[in-house]
Amino acid sequence: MNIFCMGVNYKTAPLDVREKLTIPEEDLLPSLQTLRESLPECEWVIVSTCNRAEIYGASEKEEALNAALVFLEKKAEASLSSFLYTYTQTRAVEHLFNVASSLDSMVVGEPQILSQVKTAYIHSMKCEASSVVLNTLFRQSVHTGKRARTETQIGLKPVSIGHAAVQLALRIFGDLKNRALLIVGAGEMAKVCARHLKQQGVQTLFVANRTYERGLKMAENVGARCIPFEQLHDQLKTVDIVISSTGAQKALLIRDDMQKIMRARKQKEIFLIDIAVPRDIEAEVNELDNVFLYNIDDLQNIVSENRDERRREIERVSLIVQQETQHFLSWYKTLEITPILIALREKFESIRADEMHRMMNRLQHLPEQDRETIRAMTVQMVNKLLATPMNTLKNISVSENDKRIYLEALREIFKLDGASAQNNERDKKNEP
Amino acid sequence: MSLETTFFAVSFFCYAVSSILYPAHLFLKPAKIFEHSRLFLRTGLLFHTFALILRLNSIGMLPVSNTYEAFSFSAWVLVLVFSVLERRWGFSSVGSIVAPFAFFSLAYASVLPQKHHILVPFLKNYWVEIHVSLSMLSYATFILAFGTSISYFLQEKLLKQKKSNPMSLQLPALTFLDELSARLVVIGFPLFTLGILTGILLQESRWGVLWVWEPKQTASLLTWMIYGVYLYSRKVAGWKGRRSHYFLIAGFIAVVVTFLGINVFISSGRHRFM
Repeated sequence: MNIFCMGVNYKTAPLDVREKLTIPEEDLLPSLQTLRESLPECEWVIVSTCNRAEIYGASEKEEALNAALVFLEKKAEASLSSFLYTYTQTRAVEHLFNVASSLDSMVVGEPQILSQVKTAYIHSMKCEASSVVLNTLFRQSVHTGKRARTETQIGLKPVSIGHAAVQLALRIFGDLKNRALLIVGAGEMAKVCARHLKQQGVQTLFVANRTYERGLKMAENVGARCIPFEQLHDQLKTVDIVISSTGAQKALLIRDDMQKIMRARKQKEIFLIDIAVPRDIEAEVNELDNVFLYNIDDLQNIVSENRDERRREIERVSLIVQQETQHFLSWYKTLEITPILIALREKFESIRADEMHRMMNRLQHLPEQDRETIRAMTVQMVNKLLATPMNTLKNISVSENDKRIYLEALREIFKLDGASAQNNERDKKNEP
Repeated sequence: MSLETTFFAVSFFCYAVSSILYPAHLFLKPAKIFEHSRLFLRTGLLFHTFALILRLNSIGMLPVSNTYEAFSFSAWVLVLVFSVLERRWGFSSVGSIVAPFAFFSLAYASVLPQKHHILVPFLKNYWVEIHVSLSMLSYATFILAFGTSISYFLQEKLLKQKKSNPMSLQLPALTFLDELSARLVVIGFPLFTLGILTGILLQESRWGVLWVWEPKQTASLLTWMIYGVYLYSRKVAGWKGRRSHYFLIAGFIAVVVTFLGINVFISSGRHRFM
């Protein structure tokens, strides 16, 4: 059985390639159907997020890899050779566990990937595109992701300005659902911050720009209402979070202004994010009560402090991934071996039982005790004969190909045909 | 050692451990520490309850007849109210105030004479028990509000410092703390008012006067005014944030003074037994 992963991610393929390969949740089931039709004796799971598009498969057949490639290139309507990566067996398992633990994400430690992985395999499970092997693999990957998050601090500290802003907002306001956001100015960073905050629940957004048309564009982009620039101070009396990013040379907001605004707000807490250089908001504004002003350096400091700590946490998560990979592989090994071992034992046992039976007739003259001794000896002999090969097989550490050859050889040499039928039975029941 | 004293000692020990673990949880991440601190506090509460039930059984009334009983009972009310609300509101950082409070209350109580004080016939009135219970419940909420205020100031300081600090994540969000403080006083203030009113009624029925300017009554009036102004500033004037919490600090000091206002030998002292 071969486990493999084939796909592209943000490291190997640019956005325009990934866009073509993205499969939204509603298209997962039909895509899985297509894959199953192209190769029914293969388990399939599709993981598609904004960072990656990957197909995971498990099959005895060599053609599985080709089937996956055909599917992907058809979707992309182009050759993907320079962007595609393929992992097999141990490397594939390790990769999936890394993905689930967010080590392979653009923002290491991001929380969404875990639920995305879960969704992927639940869909496969529902339409029975996946079976014992991939179900177990993905279940364990979710377990690994959970371990990574609870046993390390990987998810705790933000590594991008947007995340830092969100985390601070959550520390100030707790729930962001009924909060209002005002964006002053324009710019990519402001947009990103706004999107992050919106993702966390902020529903009311305003935009103000000295040039009304530019304000309208930004407002359209993020889903906000554009207000005339003159109403800025008035709007500050009602919003909770402000992102300021204008190109102005002088500060827009000075301490005295803010003091008046705070009075009008009855001292309701306000979070000011000033990412403009030169700064839009006077530094002294932070001295006011209930005002929390963070400029670009403050946010960068938080992020870079966190990056170093995150390196430590990444190492810890890698360790967890290693452990879980080993754990999965030992289960996986027994999956293949167990039916063969059982078949082998059964074969030996049936021979022993036959011979014993025939012997019994000729040993009638012996007392019961002696017959029993002989019987016990036959059992022990079979056990000893089997002990070495069984142990060797269980602890074998050769390449996958060689292992398959060993098992096939065993099957062939001992004529363990019953093993294949039993294989399927046991596959359904085997869980680690 | 009697059974009651044993339970008391176990509870005391649990509060002690909990007093160390709750603050430890603020500084260290492992969720285990938090679970253990909660566990110890609740176990302490359980044994404390047993001890109080035993005493209640043997004396036939609420154990509030002497200073020992007063401290023990008020600590119990505080931990009980906290445990109930902590489940619903998730403000466990305040445990760092509650657990030490309970610990020190019991520590002080343990060195006081424990023998139940036989009260004069007048005080064997169930209205006295109601008056005391109401007061203690309200004290509990006010102490918790003090706890949320401290947490608020701490969180505010961390956010103003603008350095990434893990403690900031262990504390609840700023506005949430602000809201909780208000909620606590909204619960406590009416209880406190009723406590004062029942006290006034008791005084009237026994001594024929509604009010006497003895230390405890004066202190309680001051406390009542502080929390009254706090509520007014928040609900009517719409105050929020830092400045409203100053009231809660002042109120807390007033509560401590009121509770400890054990006048010993002033002749007009009504609360001589407490």
